[in-house]
Amino acid sequence: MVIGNTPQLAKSLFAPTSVLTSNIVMQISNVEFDSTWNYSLHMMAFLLLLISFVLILIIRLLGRKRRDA
Amino acid sequence: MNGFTRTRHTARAQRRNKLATIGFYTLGVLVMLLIFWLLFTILSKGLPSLRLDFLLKQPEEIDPGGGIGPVLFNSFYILFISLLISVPIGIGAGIYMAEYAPDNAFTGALRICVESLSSVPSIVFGLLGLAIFAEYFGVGLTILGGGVSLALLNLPMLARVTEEAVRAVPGEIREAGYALGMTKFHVIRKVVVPVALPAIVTGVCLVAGRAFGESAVIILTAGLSTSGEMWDFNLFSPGETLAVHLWYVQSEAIVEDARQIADKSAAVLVFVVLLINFMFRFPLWLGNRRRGR
Repeated sequence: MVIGNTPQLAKSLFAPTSVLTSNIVMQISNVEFDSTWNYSLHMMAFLLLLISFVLILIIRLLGRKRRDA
Repeated sequence: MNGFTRTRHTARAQRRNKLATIGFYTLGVLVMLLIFWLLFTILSKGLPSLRLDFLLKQPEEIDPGGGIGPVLFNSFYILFISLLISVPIGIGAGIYMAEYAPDNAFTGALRICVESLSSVPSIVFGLLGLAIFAEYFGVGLTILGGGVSLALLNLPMLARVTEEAVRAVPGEIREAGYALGMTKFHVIRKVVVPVALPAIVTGVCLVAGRAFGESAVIILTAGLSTSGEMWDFNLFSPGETLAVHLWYVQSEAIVEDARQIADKSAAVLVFVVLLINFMFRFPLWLGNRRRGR
């Protein structure tokens, strides 16, 4: 919410932009059910799920290397 | 001088030691200051103008002077429903993972799944709840949907905390139980769980605080409005919670005293979360004292 919710690639640290999570919250309430927009929002959520899954996998791999050494 | 002289090397080590001590103290104090500053700003803005009727009145759309009555009630109601669902399942799953699960690839995969679920942004669970309740079952935005989605959000975290707590119970205590001829379930019920209880309660309390302050999930599953009645126990009415109301008032509402309402709601929110923590921990603290005596 503090980030400004502007759909652009930020050129500097002081430019407003937006993130996946807040965009979903902002837009999900005013999309039609069977529209591409709706599905793209769900795709964004799926991306978030994937990102956290990959991060956990990386952490697991790092932990395993530490244990083997 | 019994063989220990202050060489340049040890002098440097000592200097570094002192520096590190000062550094860690400063960082610790900094974090404490940050927390107290946050609490102080929120509470000092909201608490002085807080009256009892603000806690009980209906929220207003246009006129100033609206309260947070049904919203506050919905917060507790949804929290209660979500805990009712997530605590038994979460603790059961945690005990399974720690005591029964064999150490193979399947359990490893399950553990990775639990971990990644507990780190997923809450909005993803919100979308899941929306897809299940609003679109599949077609009941719309309801208190029940909010409670169940919150429970889903909290389950992985709860399972993890319980697993760690049960794993931390020393094996000797368990073996002593087996030596007395107790069955596995009996040992878990009478020995393991009581020892692990403080850590489990801390986990439940963390989860409750998180659920109480959660907004993204509730917006998508329980909606942005209330049924307009105080004490509405109907599971299928829309249930806006306090955190959602705070977000709504701050960003979309058109009442002229939105700022004051937001300040007061924030103060109430922080206060209730503190209260929940205190309420969960006070019995534990009391029990520890009694045992210590």
